[in-house]
Amino acid sequence: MSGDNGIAAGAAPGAATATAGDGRSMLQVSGLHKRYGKLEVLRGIDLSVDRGGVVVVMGPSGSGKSTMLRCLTFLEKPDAGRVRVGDVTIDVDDHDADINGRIRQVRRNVGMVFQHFNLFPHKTAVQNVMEGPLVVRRMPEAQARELAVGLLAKVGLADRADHYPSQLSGGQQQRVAIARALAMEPQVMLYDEPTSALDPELVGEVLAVMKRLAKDGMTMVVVTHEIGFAQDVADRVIFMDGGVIVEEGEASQLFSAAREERTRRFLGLIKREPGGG
Amino acid sequence: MSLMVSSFSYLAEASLMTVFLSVVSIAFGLVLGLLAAVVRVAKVPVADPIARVYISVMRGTPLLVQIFIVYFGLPQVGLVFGPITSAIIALSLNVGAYLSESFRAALESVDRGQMDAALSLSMTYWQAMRRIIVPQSFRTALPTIGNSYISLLKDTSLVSVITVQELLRAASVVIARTYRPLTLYVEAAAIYWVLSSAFSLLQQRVERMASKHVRR
Ligand SMILES: Nc1ncnc2c1ncn2[C@@H]1O[C@H](COP(=O)(O)OP(=O)(O)OP(=O)(O)O)[C@@H](O)[C@H]1O
Ligand SMILES: [Mg+2]
Repeated sequence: MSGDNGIAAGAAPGAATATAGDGRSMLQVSGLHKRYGKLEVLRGIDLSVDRGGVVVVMGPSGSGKSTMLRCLTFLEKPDAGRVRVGDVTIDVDDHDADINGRIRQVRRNVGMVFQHFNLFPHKTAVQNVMEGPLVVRRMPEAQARELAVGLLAKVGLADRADHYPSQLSGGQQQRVAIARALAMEPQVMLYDEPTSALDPELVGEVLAVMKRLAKDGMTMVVVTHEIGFAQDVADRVIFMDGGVIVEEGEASQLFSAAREERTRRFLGLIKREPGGG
Repeated sequence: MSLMVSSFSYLAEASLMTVFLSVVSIAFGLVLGLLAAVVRVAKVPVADPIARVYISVMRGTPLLVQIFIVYFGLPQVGLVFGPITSAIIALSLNVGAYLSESFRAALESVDRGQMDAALSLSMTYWQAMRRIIVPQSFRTALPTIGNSYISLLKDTSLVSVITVQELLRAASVVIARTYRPLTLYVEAAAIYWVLSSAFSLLQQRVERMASKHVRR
């Protein structure tokens, strides 16, 4: 693990954490609530991720993991709560004229990777990666292409630049999706079960790319049940159930000696799954 | 048989008008239909209810009545259009309403994750629509657009009643001189059929090209 970007817990004040908000965390969420009709899906989520920190989120189906990630970038509008990414803060109760501008700024600074990739099927791999830089960052075409080709190389797909998503394997598609998110040069990457739609033999190549990003210092929140990935990369593992964070801790502590019965029961289940590591 | 041969060039020339009317009207209709569909899917205030009424009225009334209203009715309020312009206005408005329903279904069939991905790149809703959602909906809508065009091609025959010199009108003119309705109506029908068959072939090729990279 690279030394300069673990959790800065207890770091001396004044230590070299210059840019991102004077040593504050990179991502901070407080009091996040979301309900669909009568169903309370998020019931007060508080979360803070340091610059370069990697947080893995686990929890049973329906516990609100996807909803939490979607609320972070306002793809789903939370009912209450506050989200800060870098220097941009959005409170659900803000009603100023620029709230939409701030939402777009947060989205620009947060890369999102989806379970089902969500690549644009009418565009080639390189066009998928260029789309954000071209449309949102208003980069000249040649420069956007250069950036995209470089990122495809970084995820090991330099030779697939002109393939359409339908011509790529699931693992390749997910790597293009990661490159597409990176093209916005995000401060934080969010992953929603990035490998759970993949055939087992393709999981490794995607996790390898994510691990490399983590080692390079990317701040990440990863919803996944890949225990091996959590053990290797996560600074912290969070266990969610029923719309709240039940327990959190270092991977080794949580996997060997969880405090909560619910956590132990859930981990017992996923450890028994074939390939769950 | 000799009448068929001698009248052919006359009918063929008139069928150019049929093609012209259908091509211009489908072009306007596509723009109108896409606009109405996007306005409805995006639930744009004011424009959405207007689009809804427009679609309902055009689909719920006979095309012939619409043609009469434009050509005979509007002059009463000072809007006077020639027969060809009236024909294009009525046909475009009519086909636009049908196309908007095809587009709307196609827009709504685009996977929700596409909008999520586009918004996550920090695109605005309208950038996402224009660059991601609408282009994909075109592929889905292509077969129904083709069907609408074939209907429109045949519907142009209705504007013969407001004296536009198109295929059916030309056949009627020859019949008035020769009293040979069977020959001429069959000849006109044959030309309509050739035109729509030729278009169908073209449509198949375009659809095959468009769906090349989409595996769903
Ligand atoms: N758009 C929606 N409308 C209504 N209910 C929803 C909506 N999205 C999610 N839910 C519900 O909210 C709850 C939490 O869903 P969410 O997708 O966040 O769970 P999850 O932890 O990601 O589960 P999974 O592991 O299955 O992905 C579920 O009960 C789900 O049915
Ligand atoms: Mg989920």
